[in-house]
Amino acid sequence: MKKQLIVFAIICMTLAGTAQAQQSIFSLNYAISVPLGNTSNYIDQTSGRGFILEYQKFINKNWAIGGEFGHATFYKREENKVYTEGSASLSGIQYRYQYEWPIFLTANYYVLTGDKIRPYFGLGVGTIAHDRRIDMGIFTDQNTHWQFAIRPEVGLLYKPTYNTGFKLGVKYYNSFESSDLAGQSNLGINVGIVFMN
Amino acid sequence: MKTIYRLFVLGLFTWTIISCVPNGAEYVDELDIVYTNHDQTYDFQSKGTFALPDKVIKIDFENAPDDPDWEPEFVDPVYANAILETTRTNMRNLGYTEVDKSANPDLIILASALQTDQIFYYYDWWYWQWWYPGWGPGWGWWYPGYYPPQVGRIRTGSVFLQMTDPNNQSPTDKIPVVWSGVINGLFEGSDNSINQRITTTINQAFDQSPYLAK
Repeated sequence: MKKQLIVFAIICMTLAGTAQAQQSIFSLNYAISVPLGNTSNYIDQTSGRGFILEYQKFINKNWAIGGEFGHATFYKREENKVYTEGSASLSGIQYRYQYEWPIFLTANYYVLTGDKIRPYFGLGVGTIAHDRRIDMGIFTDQNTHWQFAIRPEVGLLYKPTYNTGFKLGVKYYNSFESSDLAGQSNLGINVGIVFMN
Repeated sequence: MKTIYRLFVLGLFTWTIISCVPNGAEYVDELDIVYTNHDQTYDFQSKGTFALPDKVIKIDFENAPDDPDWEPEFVDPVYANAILETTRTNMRNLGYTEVDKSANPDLIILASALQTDQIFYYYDWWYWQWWYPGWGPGWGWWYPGYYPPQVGRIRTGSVFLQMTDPNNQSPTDKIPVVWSGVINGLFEGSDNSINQRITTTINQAFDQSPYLAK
């Protein structure tokens, strides 16, 4: 896994092309997700399995608008628990999964500072598909829940060269209660490779 | 060129992420589950004795025939003993005394087991249209007088424990089952390991029913 990431990073950097005016910004991010609230009641383990793709177009020097798409997998093996409902009790090992598919429209405000480092604030509005699965014994229960979601973000864009760079973003994903799933939230930490042209 | 490069990076990236999907169960005992349920109004504390048959019934999906001489099939004593012994030990540890069924026990515990080792197997005849001579729309196959598409694949086993109260028979002759436990898992492995899992799971059934304690 680590090796694959390093190889991937090297290929990205060596192949990076050149372009003229900077009008758009594209990033590939490795995503770490820390479950919060209802999500952490279900799975309280931080996920290191995720990625985020972002694309934005600058509409002036400070503002860029675009979209975000990605994926994160939460997982936990829950054992030695008895699930009691009324007079009935059930026990066994549960394998819990929550696959997240965020899809957002985004707007970022990039603060103009020096050349190389630009802090930014962002907001995304869209949806997250939460695909929940519980495996217990030989049985599986799986359901997908689409929830309306928003996510504010603060981050830093670092561009040592004209059209490639790196970014670090911290996002708070918050999606709202749907018919059969309470609102979900998590803290996303994105480390990305950025391409601009 | 740039597009190709980006697609390449994207593909590599996706592959990197997908290559670390989390795992599920790896061992048979990780698939064992234990379910218990009971009559919440029943006063277990006031009961003192129980009786237990020396055999475990094997349920085979058929209705029991209406014949006073009929006897069901029984579970292999290798497994039955583990089921009965573990149940007996748990009841004794809870403070109940075992008596013969003729000595008017407060509770009678019945153990049964069910093994399913068949799955229904069927595939559409159209899969063969590319090869079978003369095959065309409207054709199909049938099994004259026998039924092959059942193959042994996943052997799952269930053990049922029913705790009944013989002194509380209702006017309609229904015997109340005041507690029941169901254990389900894969019926795979050596006798030893299966018995070990039977013991663990029956213990768990009693552990998760603290109201049985006297």
